[in-house]
Amino acid sequence: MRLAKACLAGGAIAALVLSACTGKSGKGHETAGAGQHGGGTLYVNTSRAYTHLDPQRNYFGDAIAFDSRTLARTLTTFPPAEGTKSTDVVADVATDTGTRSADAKTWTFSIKPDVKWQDGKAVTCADFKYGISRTFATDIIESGPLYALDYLAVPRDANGQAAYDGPYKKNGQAGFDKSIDCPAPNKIVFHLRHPVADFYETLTMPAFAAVRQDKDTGAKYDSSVFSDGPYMIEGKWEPTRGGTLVRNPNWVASSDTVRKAYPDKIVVAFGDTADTVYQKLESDNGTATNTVTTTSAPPAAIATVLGPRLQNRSASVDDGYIHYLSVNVVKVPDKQVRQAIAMAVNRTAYVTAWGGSAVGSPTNSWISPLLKAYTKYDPFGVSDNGDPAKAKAVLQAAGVKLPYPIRFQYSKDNTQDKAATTLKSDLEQAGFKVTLDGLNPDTYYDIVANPKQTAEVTWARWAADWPSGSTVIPPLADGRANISQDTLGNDLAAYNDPYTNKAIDAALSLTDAAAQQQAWSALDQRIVKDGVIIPLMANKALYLYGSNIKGFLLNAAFGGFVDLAVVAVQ
Amino acid sequence: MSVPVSEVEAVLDVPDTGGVAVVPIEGRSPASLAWRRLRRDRVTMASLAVVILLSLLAVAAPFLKAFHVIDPSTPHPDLVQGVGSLPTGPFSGASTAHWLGVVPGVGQDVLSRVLYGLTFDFTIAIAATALTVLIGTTVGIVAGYTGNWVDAALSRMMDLVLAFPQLIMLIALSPLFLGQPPRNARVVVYLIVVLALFGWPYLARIVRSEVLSMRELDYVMAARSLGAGTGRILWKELLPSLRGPILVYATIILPVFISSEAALAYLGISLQPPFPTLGSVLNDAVPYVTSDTSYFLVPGVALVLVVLSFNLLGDGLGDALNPRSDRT
Repeated sequence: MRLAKACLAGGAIAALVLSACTGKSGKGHETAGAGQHGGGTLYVNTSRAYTHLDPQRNYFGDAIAFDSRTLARTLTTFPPAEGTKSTDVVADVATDTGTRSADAKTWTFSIKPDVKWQDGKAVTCADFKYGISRTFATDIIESGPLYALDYLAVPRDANGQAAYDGPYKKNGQAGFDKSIDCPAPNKIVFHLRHPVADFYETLTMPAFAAVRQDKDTGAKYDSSVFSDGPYMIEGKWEPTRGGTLVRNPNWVASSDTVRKAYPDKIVVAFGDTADTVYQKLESDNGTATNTVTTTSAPPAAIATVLGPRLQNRSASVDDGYIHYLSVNVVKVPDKQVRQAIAMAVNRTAYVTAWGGSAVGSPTNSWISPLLKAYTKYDPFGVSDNGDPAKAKAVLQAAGVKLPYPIRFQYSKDNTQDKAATTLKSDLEQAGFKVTLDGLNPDTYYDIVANPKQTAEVTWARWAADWPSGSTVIPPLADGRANISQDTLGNDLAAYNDPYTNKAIDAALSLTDAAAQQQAWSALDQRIVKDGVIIPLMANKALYLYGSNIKGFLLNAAFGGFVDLAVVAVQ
Repeated sequence: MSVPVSEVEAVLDVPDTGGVAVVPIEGRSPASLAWRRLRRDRVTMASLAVVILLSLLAVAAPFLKAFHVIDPSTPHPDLVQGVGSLPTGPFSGASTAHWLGVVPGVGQDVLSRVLYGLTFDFTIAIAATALTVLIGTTVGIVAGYTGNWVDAALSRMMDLVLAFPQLIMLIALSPLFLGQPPRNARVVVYLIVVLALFGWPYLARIVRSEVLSMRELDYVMAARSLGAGTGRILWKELLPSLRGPILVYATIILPVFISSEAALAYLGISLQPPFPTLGSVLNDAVPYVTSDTSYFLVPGVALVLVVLSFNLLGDGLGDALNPRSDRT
């Protein structure tokens, strides 16, 4: 799973055990009653285009939340619910959340009757098997989450990689066929290569959704996703501009206990800047009254959105994203220098630059406070304001020449420029010489993951794919899976520590969920104390919606994005 | 604008005193005539004063920074603890330490950023204008005077450059030339060269048409018949008459370059933060137009002042330098 995709606009689904939605979210909500609010057109106006609608390539929180509720049903999913309740996985296409063998290596599901494609054919085990097999064609179906490659019991090649290259080239097809069994069209059995205690949560990702083989258009599937959900694409989906969804006539409401699907039509438009999106929502004219957005309020709009006039049309949620810095261990091999960076940063100033307590809070942990794997700890005994003097002492003790030069790469916009400015100021007080390198957001993760172009310190943002540390530590810190000659993958620090790698293997094979989460927390602390990762802020999302929107709900389990399963227009 | 007839008479009428000049004839050069006309034009004089003031501030800013009188970069997060990190206190948190308030989110001094940004903008705009004048005048004179295929070739070149989608070119070329930071020096050079590269054809066209009408005039013919070389005719006979239009064009293109800088800053072609430019400060301030209006107004008013004063000055100069303006 590449960070490029997972982190950019938001990344993977946030996994959360939400302590609470913040105060505002409860206000002004009216639950949409069935039938009462059916019909109408819902507009989704979002700044950054959804990177992929193709379920197997979909690794962005906003697009995952959208796909899951409209076009791509999964065996299990997160329910539309407030706070922690949203993380209690429920059955969707499956009749229940599955039956696991004692060793958690075999998982069996039954498919509900009446789950149908948009042409009326039934969704079968073969469709799920085909959909999941697409993930293996990493040359065509690139940039999606790769859990299937690691988890499924597909034979390994000499390098330990899955010996199967997808349904297009079909090398190793027989090996893959054994990993997913279809004893009947409505029965599906997964064989895993190691225990995965939370596999039923893994299956909530659209990467594990069904795709019909005869409708697959390979790399172009983004614009022509064939739906088994309550909506289907009308005409053509324009990946950079959006499109229109209309009702799927073959969707059977009784087969779907999750989606209410109130609006008749959903019109998605990309391309306005975040400030424009919010200006339109504030003015609440024309289609803006029926509009929701997956773009969080930009700093300039926060005061207005939280003001008395708009308060009852706004909602906020802890979305599980963690902002952090990666210190490249190849370019900064000295542990003390890395620790000096970690001690110098002023997290309070960083949060302020992003808009203050309305959009985040300082954190020392790489794992979100919303996860069970979270432990509150203080790695260096410095406050959230940082301690440049202590950092300077550590830097001097390291015996390096001062000022120590570092380049800092970040995804450039006005807000991030400000955040970078505060970090530069902190670090220069501690004896560093910082060159800021604000990069184009569209290609940001490609550049920082390139070993030739990446800098000493890089910025990133990540949320767990499902509520487990298994979707933070292994995808981000396992050097073996991430690092190759051409890319650092998600491991922007180029961290490839034998002890950590061994501990990851040990933690993954645990069947006791609680023990596993403890193991992730221990690794989190080890990596942060090494100065490799410098967690900065636990993110909070703040949204405004149109005055005709009813039943507005932010789903914490889906990265805090709006849950289209229950949103209605008046 | 018209000049009172009495004044013109005062210059032209030499009282007849029987061949003896009692009142000495006051000889006036075209420049002093223009200056007299200019002085009577209050709007132009006011804009000239503003231009001089802004220029002085722009020159002073780096020295003020060196002596820590202004500080455009140091963050003050403690001053921006309002909702959404807006400055604490009215008028963007204006205080005796920060006269025009601080930047939301990060708390840098707004006045310092605008002043320091002014230095950058004036530097690149003046340099780009100088380059524009150099290229535009040279190409214009050569094209206008030679005629024939040289004129045709140069004119098509002007058309070609004018037809280029400037902004798209600027964005497309920027990664090629700018590369990795530290790159602020490269940004400065890039902006100057690129602005001038797209600015010269307009001036070249003006100069060319002026030269076309002048090259057949008697004094040019006379110079040619006396054996003056092409170089002398171009630079000594034609160029001096072109000073007026060139000066006017320069004062008009300079604020255009400053607004272009603002547009380019929006597209990310700007100095790396925390170095301010007028454009980057303004682009950060625009979204705050409702939530922190005074922060938006400071760089906004500064940009309007620069553009307006230069434009009015250019207009005034155009009138003053045009000898025909007396005859209206």
